[in-house]
Amino acid sequence: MKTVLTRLLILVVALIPSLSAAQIRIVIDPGHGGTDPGGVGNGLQEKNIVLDVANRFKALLDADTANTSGGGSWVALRTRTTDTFVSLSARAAFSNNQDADRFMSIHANAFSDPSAHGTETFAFAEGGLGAALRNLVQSEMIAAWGLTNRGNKTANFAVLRDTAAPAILHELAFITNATDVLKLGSATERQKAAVAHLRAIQRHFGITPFVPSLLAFADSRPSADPAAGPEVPDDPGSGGHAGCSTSSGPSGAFTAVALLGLATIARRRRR
Amino acid sequence: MRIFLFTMLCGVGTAATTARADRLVDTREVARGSYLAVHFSPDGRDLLVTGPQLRGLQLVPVDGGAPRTLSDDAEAGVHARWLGDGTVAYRAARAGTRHDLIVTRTGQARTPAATRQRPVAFTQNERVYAERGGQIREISSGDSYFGAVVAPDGDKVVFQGLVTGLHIYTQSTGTVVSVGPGTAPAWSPDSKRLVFEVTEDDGHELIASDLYLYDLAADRATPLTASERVIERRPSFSPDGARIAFDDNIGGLYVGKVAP
Repeated sequence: MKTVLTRLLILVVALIPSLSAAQIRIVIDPGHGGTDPGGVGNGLQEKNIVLDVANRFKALLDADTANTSGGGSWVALRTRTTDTFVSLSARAAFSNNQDADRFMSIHANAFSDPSAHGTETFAFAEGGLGAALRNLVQSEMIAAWGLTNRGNKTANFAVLRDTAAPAILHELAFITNATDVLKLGSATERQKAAVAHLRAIQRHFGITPFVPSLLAFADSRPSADPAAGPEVPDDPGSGGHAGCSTSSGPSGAFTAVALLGLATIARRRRR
Repeated sequence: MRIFLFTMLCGVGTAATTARADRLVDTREVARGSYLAVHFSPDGRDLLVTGPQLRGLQLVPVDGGAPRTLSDDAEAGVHARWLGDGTVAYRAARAGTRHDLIVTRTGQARTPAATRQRPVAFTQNERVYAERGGQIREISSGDSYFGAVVAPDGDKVVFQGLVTGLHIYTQSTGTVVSVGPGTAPAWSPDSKRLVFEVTEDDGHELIASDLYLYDLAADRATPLTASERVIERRPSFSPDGARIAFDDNIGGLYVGKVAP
């Protein structure tokens, strides 16, 4: 028993510096772009929606890094920063060559049947760090937007298979659904989605969720609306959480879940 | 994407009418499993490959035989490369940190000795820097760059831009040449040619890919493959420059001959 405790103590001591001192490299991957609009519906294009969420997520990670009163320390990289086409092979190669610690792809769903709706998140396989991050992103997004939970899934998508870092691909909502699109088309809701991604990655690394003020990062904040495509008018009363989700955890058992997540990370990092 | 590829292929086709274009012939399947990212061994007998999510390293004999596992480490395939003595250098992710290692053909791993070799060019913070005349200067602009690969002659470096594709820097002349769209570049042994993939995707999965050969002297890229059935990816030259190995995006390994 003593040996086990000693090993556990050594592990914790070894783990804490790696989580707190070293900067964690996150590659944010806004899907589609340029000549590839992705899903199109209700006057919106997927490429613009996901780029806006990605830019907001990047701004939050940068602000979190700069704010030493809480949160984590990140290097946030993006596979595209403007409305340009980047191949899937280039996105994966970029992530691998940047020695990314995590790869987070952001998409919006589309389907010929406009009744299809909800939020879903993919990892390459069950188990491991990719699936653990997937589950957190999904739960945070369900808490933030309150859309139908389509579940945690696996898929053989190129960016999940060809990236070395644990990777997820998140589908925010259906751009072809009249209810879902109220979230996608709202700048306020997109900011909530970015905050949900921040909270998920913080919790994934055992960091107490902390949403920094963006006031000091006015220059890096994304514009209120995506660059192209007509916008759905912002409707604060369209459902989901009213106001920012910074103070409302996804579940009452957050602390226990966070500790369990840290233990899981510690166990899996010993692979 | 289709318009983009069409434009590029038209350009390649025009060039090909005025000069010889190599093709990949006698292509055969060497092995099937969960293999990707091929590197021909220095003796030409084995293919060094990794697996999905670039986990682990294996040696697959070109002429048949059981594959040998060199490593089960996460991320082992990202920076894996053959060294001149027949060992393999790679970087492993273990317990949340990355370790540079060298492994022999029998799977014995060790930590490499520290080296001071300064690369011709390198990428850092999405920019490319090169040394010339004792000074280091940035040679990139207008894109996010990564993945510098030095040619065997030590004079040239190919690097990638997220949007702009492949570029080649030549130290002796200080020039940068744009190759065009492509990923996964690999040098020929004589450093005169570059093989790479040009992929097409639907935003979630690859729907096509072919291999291209870039001739530095002619400043021209020509297609090595033109199949609709196979998604040719991640090529590698054999040590004699006569063959090219690649994977098919679904775990198969192939070797073909480069022929005029």
